[in-house]
Amino acid sequence: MDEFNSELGVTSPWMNAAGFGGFMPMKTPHVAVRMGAFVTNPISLLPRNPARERHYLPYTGGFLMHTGYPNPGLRRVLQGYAPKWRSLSVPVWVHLLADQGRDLQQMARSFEGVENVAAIEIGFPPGLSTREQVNLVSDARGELPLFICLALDDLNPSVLEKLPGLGVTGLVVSAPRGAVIFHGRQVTGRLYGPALHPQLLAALSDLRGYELPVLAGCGVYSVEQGQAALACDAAGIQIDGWYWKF
Amino acid sequence: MKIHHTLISGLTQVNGETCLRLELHGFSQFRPGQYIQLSEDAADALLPRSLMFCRTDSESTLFCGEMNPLWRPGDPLRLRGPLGNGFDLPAAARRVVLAAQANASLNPLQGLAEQALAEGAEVVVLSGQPLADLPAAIEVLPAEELHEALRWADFCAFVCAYDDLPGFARQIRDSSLTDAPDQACMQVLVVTDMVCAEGAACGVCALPTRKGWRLACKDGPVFVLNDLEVKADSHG
Repeated sequence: MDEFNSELGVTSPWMNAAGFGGFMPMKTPHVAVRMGAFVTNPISLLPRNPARERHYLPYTGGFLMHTGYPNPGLRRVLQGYAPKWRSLSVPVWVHLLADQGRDLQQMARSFEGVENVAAIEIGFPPGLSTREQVNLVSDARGELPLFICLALDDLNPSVLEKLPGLGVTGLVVSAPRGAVIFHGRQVTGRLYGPALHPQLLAALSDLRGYELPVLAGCGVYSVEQGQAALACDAAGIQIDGWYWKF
Repeated sequence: MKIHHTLISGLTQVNGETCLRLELHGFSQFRPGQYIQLSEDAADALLPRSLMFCRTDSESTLFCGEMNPLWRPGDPLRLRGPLGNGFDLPAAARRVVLAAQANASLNPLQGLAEQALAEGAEVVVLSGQPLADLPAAIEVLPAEELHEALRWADFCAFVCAYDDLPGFARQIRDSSLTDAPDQACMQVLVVTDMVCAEGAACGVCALPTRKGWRLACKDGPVFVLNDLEVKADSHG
């Protein structure tokens, strides 16, 4: 996996997960690892408001969070941050949100040639069919290395087996979706925290046959958990809530 | 932002709420309404906690909010702060009303009460609960006196949980009179989860305002009531 990281200009397998670092990295991250890349907050073509109902709901071993991935949209991100990304000491991976192939294509192309942007990462909205997911991957493919985020609870073999043929550089196993009861009603969102770690390791094991570099994008809350994932053949580690601790 | 290492010097009951006592040396002055983030080593502490500034005693500073129930005096903590924008008490304010909505604590207003008294203002607190820990110079009136209090005041500060904002806005609207202070002179500390505390603009604490969406962790948690886009009739 060292070869994989050096091809991408990543000098350490550790990086933040999308949604946990904003659009510029912390000057001094407080996690006890050296960061090899910076992953932006999710970016949509147009400005995106927060979800109508936003939640942070802790439970034993983790927390559910739902925000709707608010962001200022492609144009303002490019205007505001692309000049600053040039001078960063780590490469930038931009995380794109899209459910329309044309939008995704436009966004992916916009980052080609932006200095120090080294890769594109895309995340799918919930509820897409296999065909829709595969079509979006095809649309996102461009000059930059492409990483696909699939949720831990959505590692669909019929999508996975097509990814190498579509020119995908790697896979990120991202936070699964779940639900908790809050004030008597069910609330859904992404799940984060160390309780996901055993499922992450099992997934890394199951993904060995797909000939894709796999990044552990959830369930890592300590150096030890990250090292365990690397020992299970993860090509890299993306940290989420742990990144906010200090 | 600099990280400070500190020890819990005590846990103190203030108006029925357990508050955290810290001895902070060489620290910026806190403004009422500002908050801190606390991080700890415990394996089950998944994210830092945000606590509100309560008041400064002679040697220590009190903070209120959702504590870790396992915290004990002597426990080490790491601290970032002061964070956010606090209350802006006008120098000309002479009749100050303070109130916390149901489900919210009055304690984040303690520092503001002391500041107002020190600046020569009269201070009235509206509360439906008995309050044992307030300066004697403060007059406490039942919460039902809101209408009269708004007529009297030239500055009002409130604490309100995010989910209760629509009901609160309705209450203010129903109590507003032509001679009540302008809503620009009413400020509200919005109690909501502030998990990334400016770090990632995650959006959990986003609030609709007249200037668009704003983050309580960065742009607040104190807002001018008039700036909030709260539909008084949107709930309940």
